[in-house]
Amino acid sequence: MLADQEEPLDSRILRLAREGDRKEACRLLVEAYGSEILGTCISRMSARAGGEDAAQDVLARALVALPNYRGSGGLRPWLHRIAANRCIDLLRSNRSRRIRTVETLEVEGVAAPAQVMPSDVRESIHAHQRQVAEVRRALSRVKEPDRTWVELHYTHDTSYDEIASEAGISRAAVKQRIWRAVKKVRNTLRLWDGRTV
Amino acid sequence: MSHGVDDQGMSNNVVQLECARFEEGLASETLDSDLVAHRRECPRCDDLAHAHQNLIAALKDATGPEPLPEGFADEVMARADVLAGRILLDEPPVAAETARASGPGAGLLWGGLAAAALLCAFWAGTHLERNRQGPAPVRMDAATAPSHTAGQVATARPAAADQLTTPSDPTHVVGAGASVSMQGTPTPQAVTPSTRPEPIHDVAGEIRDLLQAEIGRNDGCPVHSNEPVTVTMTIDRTGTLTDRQLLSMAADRDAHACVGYALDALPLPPLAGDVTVTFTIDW
Repeated sequence: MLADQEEPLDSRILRLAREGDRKEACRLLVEAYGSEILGTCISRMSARAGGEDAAQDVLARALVALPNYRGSGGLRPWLHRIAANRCIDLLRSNRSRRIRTVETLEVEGVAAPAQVMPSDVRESIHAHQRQVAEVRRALSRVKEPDRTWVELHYTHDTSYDEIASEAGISRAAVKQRIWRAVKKVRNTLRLWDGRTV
Repeated sequence: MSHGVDDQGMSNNVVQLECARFEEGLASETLDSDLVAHRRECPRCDDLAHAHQNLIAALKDATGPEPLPEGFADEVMARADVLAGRILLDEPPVAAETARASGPGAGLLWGGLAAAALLCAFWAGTHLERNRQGPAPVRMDAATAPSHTAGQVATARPAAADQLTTPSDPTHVVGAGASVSMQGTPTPQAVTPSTRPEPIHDVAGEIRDLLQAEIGRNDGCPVHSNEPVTVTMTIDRTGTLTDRQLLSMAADRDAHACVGYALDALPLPPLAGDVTVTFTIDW
């Protein structure tokens, strides 16, 4: 039991998956990475329902592929790469079916509050939602894998070295591409509304 | 006077250089004390640093972790079970068996398998050659054939029965009143039923079935396709469709489009490696 506690989480998940204990591997995988994969999927799909569906799909695929995992950069970059690819596929599918919902700046569940709240609080919430939606839209203009790297580095504190190891390119190249992507997001946001986020 | 202008120009250049260094430091997250001091004196770099901090905060806000809904892990597990079931079907049993074998016995297993394959190939080649050069086929009705022979043939798998026929007499229907065409001298050997189920390698067939189901669910698709559509697609190890080509007759654009939509919506499992399949689909 002590050995389990000392074993790094990624190694433990991999070991369980390779030993065939998929249920326990699933529990740990979801516990460790479920929230962040859900966050990135919601961000990419621009809707909570679509994001949940995509995140479940991503984690299920990862779980099945875990026994064959041979990466060296840790599970996080690998999982985010699967999430990015899956969301791209799903968005492409939605576009081709022409059922893409109208883009809205409202966030589900907040547009129609259950109780009346002060107007300044409501305005503040709406302003925040607008900003989140704008940033997501601006991020969607950044090509892969740069977008995934931006999220990994700034949101999930993944080091340049870890990303470089997973991507198989130099640390300097990763750093340069992340910075270029951030500048693109900043310029896009400036272009849209003439202000700095 | 002109000297003062030169000084100012040089000063501006130095400031711009410092600003460039500051931006570089911001990008690489290595702001030394000189650059921090420069920020205090340079409104432009101060604005840049503020904007960067705000942007990073906004990025974290927009892409950060979200609370998991109830039953999330159970749903992941259920989906994984479905995917794993499909992948097991795709996996050749021999490879799976070999993967399970470990230690010094694994080499012996491979050797044994290779030897068995060689023997089978040799026997089949000799048998076919003898058939080609042998006497005219002897037609034996199931009703008149010795009961043990008929029984043996009846238990043979279709693939084995195919080997016992020649192109000159393609009729080989087994059943009441049916006849089995046999030729050559060797008495048909009973084929022992396999203790393992037959391997399923028909990835293309499985994908075609999924596509047909997806097309059936799409109200915008025609009830029947006029012409078959030929699909060539590559799935990579993450289950992503990396390449696809659709070929169809120009007269059936609706079917072509429907296959495309269905392909986009198709949930694909991660595979052991890149797999390219080609098949035709109609409905």
